[in-house]
Amino acid sequence: MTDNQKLEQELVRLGKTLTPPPFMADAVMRRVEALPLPQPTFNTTRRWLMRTSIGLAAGLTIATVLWLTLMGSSTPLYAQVDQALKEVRTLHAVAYVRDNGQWAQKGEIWYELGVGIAVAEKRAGRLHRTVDDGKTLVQQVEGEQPISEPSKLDFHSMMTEALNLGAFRDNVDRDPSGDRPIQGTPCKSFLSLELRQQGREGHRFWIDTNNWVRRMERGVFREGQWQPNSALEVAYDVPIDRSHFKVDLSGQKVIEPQRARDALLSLDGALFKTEKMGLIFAVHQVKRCEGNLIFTLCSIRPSVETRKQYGRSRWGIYQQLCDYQLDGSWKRINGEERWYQPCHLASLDPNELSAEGIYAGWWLLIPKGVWREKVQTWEVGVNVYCNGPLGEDLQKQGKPWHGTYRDLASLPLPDAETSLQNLVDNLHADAKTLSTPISMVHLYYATERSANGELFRRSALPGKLSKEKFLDEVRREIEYLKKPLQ
Amino acid sequence: MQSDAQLVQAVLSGDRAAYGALVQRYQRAVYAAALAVLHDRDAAQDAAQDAFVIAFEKLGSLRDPGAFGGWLLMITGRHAMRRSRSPLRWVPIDAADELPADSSDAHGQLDEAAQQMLDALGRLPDHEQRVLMLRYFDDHPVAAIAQMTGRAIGTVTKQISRALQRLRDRLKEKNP
Repeated sequence: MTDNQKLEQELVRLGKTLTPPPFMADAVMRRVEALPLPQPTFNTTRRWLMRTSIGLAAGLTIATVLWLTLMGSSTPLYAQVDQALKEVRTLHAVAYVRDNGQWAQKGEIWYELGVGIAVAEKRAGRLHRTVDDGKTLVQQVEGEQPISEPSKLDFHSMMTEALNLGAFRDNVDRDPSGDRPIQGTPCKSFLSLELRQQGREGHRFWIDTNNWVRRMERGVFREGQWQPNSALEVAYDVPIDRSHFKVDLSGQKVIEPQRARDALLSLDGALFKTEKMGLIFAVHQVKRCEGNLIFTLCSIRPSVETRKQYGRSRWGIYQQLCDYQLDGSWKRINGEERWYQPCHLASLDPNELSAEGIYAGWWLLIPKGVWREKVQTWEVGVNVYCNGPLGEDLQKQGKPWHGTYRDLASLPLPDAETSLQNLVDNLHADAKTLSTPISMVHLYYATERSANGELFRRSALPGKLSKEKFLDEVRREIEYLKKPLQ
Repeated sequence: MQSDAQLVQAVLSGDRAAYGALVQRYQRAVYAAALAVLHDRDAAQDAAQDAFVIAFEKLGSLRDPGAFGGWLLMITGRHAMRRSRSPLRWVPIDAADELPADSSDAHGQLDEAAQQMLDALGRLPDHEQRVLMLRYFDDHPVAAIAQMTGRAIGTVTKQISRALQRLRDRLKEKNP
């Protein structure tokens, strides 16, 4: 057997392993059937911007789409359960999985109102611990450095997220035949609608007279028999050992991404900032780079007022309210055109925990057209986009949800050039410092060419892409972008 | 067999069922892409479903309908990554009973060789990932892949050959 044949065999074997459950396609189509048909919506400006940054902008809206996907209308049952949770003083939940027909404990959640929430679970054989006392969120993964962040979720949202109560967003049916006492408390049984169809996986819930979920199971009906594969059992207002909320970080080197974010992206230290459409755009770094390139780090975030109005967490998920693209600073001087081709090098996405909703991007501006003299300044221009509920409200009010702002400022460029290698090395180091499981910087690079010479753009986390490889890829992309558009 | 572009156009023209054909075509690839990030079958299954729904909602913004596969895999990767970093993500499900016994253990974890193969596959360019998954995971003939992707048969053959070479190189880097 040749090497190729062996590899092909391995691929076939892997494919068999990766068979998705048969109900997955059905589940997708059921969700799709409930959605309005998609309409061509592509905005011309945005299309141009996307082409200039090789399709990168598409990724930026995913969080918004995800949010909208998750924000299906809530059922009265969900509202009742959600409301009842607010009355909870303490909670202890135990998660089980069924292994070879036997239930095995997989993790636990402890919660005490005003004290904190702690989650412990085994993933891939390692203990993952998350503790949030309302001030600080600490994540510990066995064998790795702990991560500490200022707490961003309120207690109610933490609990809703930890208990995965989003399952209630789907419609559920009352199922009196399943009523039974749980922990000695009479409970009513409910079934998620997926379970109406044979072979589909769904949830069963048992809810007590306080509208507290006492037990949740996920599984499937086979030949009329309920076959759960996981369960979560919840006890309320029970004594909780507060040691679960304590974390001993003494003697450990703690990663503090928030501190690094503040150092790089604070508004106080920004070279320039301006408020547009309820959003604050800021320039944090501008450097002259070899080959007349300009390197810059810019960010956008909701203003305090916007955050107050739109940035609240619902079901533990923060909404992305904004993004931006740098403008090309196009000018016609004495009949000659000149502009910059923005090249997006990396981005810090507004993460689920960041109530500030900061979206930051590192860019190279590549001069195109005719530049007769050495440039001394960068005329800042930006396209600002309002997303999520902010954008929706503006559209409902008939106001524009995005805007282009040119010549916002003329920022001086330093005389000295910084080498591309130096800039990329620093960016790579910053990205590593900022990247944690809860807040990631994605490095963007163009990689292999297709048959027609087009470069494919990819992203990688800094831990997965060496600075040397990143530099090579950036150089390749600059070379590609310097060519005239076809 | 209809190409991706034809199916996308059909959906945009009101034929919702055409999306079902795209789901069937890419479900394994999307699931694999999600699993490469999340390393958890249940989470990958949820992420794969979400990715298809997100793609449906955004279908109107897809510039080149023929690029549906790559675009979908990009959405999947981003969405899976976002899920993977949710700090309080609770995954109380283990569908080990659902799965065939092959290169995964009783907990649904892939064995090391399978995981390495999946990781290496995830590092290939999108178009190469797509052709390998369609060819070897879903057993589509080259001619059918050519139709789906809107490329010439010769181009697909070359893509597969290059992808296998690259995959072999990446695996050798890992296990010299």
